[in-house]
Amino acid sequence: MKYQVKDYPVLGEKVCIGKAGSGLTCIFLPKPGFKRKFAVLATPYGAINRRVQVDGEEFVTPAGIAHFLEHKMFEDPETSIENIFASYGASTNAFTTHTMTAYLFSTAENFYDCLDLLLDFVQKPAFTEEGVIAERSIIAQEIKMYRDQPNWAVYLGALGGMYGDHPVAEDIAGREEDLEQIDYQLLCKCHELFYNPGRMALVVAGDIDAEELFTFIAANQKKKQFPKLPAIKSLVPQPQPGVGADFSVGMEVSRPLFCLGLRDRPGRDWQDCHRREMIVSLFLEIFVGKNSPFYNRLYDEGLIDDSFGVDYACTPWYSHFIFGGETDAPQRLAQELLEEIKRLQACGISQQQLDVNLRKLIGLFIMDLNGLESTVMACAADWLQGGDYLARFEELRSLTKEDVEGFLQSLDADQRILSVVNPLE
Amino acid sequence: MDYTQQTLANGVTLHLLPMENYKTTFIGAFLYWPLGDDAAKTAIVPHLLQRGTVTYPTARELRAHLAELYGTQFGIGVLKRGENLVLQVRIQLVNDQYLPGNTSLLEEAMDIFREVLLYPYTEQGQFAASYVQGEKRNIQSRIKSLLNDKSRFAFHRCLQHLCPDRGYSNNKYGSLKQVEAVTRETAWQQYQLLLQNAATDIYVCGRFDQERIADAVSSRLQWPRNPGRELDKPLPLEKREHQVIREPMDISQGKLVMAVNGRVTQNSDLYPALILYNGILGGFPHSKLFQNVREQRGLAYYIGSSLDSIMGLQFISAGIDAGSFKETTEVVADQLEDMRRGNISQDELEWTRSRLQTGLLQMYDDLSEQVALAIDARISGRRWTIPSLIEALDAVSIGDVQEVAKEMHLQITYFLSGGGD
Repeated sequence: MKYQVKDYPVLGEKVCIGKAGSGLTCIFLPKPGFKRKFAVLATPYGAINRRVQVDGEEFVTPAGIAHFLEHKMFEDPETSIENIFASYGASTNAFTTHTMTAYLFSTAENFYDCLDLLLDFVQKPAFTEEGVIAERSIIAQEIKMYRDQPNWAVYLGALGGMYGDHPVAEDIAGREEDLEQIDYQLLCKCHELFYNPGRMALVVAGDIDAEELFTFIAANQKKKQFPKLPAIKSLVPQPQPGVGADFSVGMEVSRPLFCLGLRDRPGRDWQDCHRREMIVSLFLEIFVGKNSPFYNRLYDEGLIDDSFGVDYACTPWYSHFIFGGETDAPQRLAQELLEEIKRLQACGISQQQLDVNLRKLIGLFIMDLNGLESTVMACAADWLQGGDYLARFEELRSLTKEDVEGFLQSLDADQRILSVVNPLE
Repeated sequence: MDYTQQTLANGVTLHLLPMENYKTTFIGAFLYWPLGDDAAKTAIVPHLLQRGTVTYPTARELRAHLAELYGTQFGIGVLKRGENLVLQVRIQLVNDQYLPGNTSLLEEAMDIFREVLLYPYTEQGQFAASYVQGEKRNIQSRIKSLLNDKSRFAFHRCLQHLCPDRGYSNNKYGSLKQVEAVTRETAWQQYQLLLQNAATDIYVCGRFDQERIADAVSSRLQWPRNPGRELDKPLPLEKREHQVIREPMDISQGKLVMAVNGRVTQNSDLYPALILYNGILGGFPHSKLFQNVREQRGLAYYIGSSLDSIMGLQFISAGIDAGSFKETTEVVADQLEDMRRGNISQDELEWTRSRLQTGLLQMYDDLSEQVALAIDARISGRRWTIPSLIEALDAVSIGDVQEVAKEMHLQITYFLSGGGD
């Protein structure tokens, strides 16, 4: 397999990219000196991709199906995938997000045995009808476990308030009644549609010879036959505008947990989303980062503590902030956060704050490259969305005050929803 | 590659571990103190140190300066390891080879590190009253928030039943009442006491120039100490009769925690056999617990076991339906019995051995794992290095695992659940 080498001299990193005969995109990050070798095989198929159009026909699936399929890929009546990985000394895992499913392994030895196994078990389903039925109760346990977690309840409350019955507001694992509708045939169909190598990316990192790696992957793919890449049109709906009523529930917690959801405009396309994510990371440092006057005032007043955090998500369908943590005064905290956004909208930000926080983010970007897994996952997610993770660095360095203020002006602080888990009386 | 050591003028040991795969330098000061009745005033100290220094009196000023130093990461921590508290002050910074034109980042970051550790912000020669008040409140909410995570809550309750009379059962922050009793005076006295008397190490890991770092550290971190104080040897728990404890809470999935006391610790020659024993029983997806409880019977979403190898304890944890309590505990008991009888297949042994060994190899890449290994060595009193453990694991037989299994005594079965059964 031919591959192209991209150099990122400032970061001291290189990336090799090639495409196998099967259509599978292969990305390799050479990491000399590392003992650990890591690979992830990912597809842009997640919990929100429940409706698609295939060759002109609509195909609708129950909530939780991408996650269900992820579980079932590990079933093989002849053997145990996990045990074979164990026999190689490797650990394996998988996860499903709103927009992707990923399978991965980490090892220090027997790398090529592991890679062969990863490609084979993800590309060739071996699950059975009985196995699918048995899985329902296992996933039902998983749903129950999450349901007991106040963090999860308060988070879902915020998503529900922002998006109503849109798929992004559903539990990634679905509901117990959805599980009953998921059967063997449906899972096979989803695998055929969404796991075609032409849609997927394999990302590998470690102290490995590039030539040998690409030759090996090509040989693995050559052994297999895949159906033609189906023409799939995503029918993820645009969420209804506006936000719902605030949400609150009582649970056994020591003090209130809160999530303040704030809706933002969806990105025009993934490229726009990636740029927005970087602008927002800078905005958040200036607004509520640990060196901001605002964060320190809230901390000194006891409104927030170390449990406070912010998440920002941006996709072509939805985009939002979720501020969360524990506090004794959720209403007041929400009010403070929104007022500070309005104040920044009115007063703008200082060049000095921007410079300091941009330096901070540049340092953090380099620091994050220490972690093999996190770098590989970021590269995989960005590639599936047509982006280049390491190229973000240059874009980050070029961000300006106008970028941040432009974003700030586009925010509507009224698109907010407060979700609270209160202690039981 | 292993640590090299130097002794600073005040007796503190500086441990250096170059890791060329890192783009950053980590520097951490670790103070060890027994976990006892003074836990609250001990654990609050690093929380107060992060609030401000002589030059940067507020956290905001301190953080703003760190941000300017290319986001130099600064953190404090309180860790419970065995029956000790480990107080940590640490920074991590980008090596200047990746930065434009900056040549003194390390020295500037070390200036901050020195201030945080040795020159905190004071009012009338003590910690500021408002800082003490604020951190007491934060720590109290942290203690209370244990309730928000049911698995951790169940684990904590299990410990309290396991050894109510020992420091090991304490929260690392002490009790709510003990935190309430902390004053500016007692916190300041404790800080002085710790600086002068706590066993202390400084770890430097990652990408650095050996001479430059040794100079940067030794020229800045000099403070008067009383030499000679060493850590107490870990004291295993007494073996007692098995107790079943059930406590109610309105949750849909019950939390099972079983404490197994074996008294085989990191200090023992059987330590490699102990980690193999734990791996075979419950450390991995191929292990007996996961296979028999979850895969074959669908009784749990998660089940596994972990070790506190400083205390010689094993904990089995599971999330199960309230109605499955009896069946699950019976299946677990069968697995413990199988371990004692040596009913362990060649595959179970070899897969576990291989997982543990590649896991150890991967630890070479991970700075925090390397530091954790060194802390364990300091507390247990026996230094297991990555290569020495890999080699020792090669020699462990089923007979050795069985020998450990015979030591393992199920002491507490704790179950937190709603209705059912």
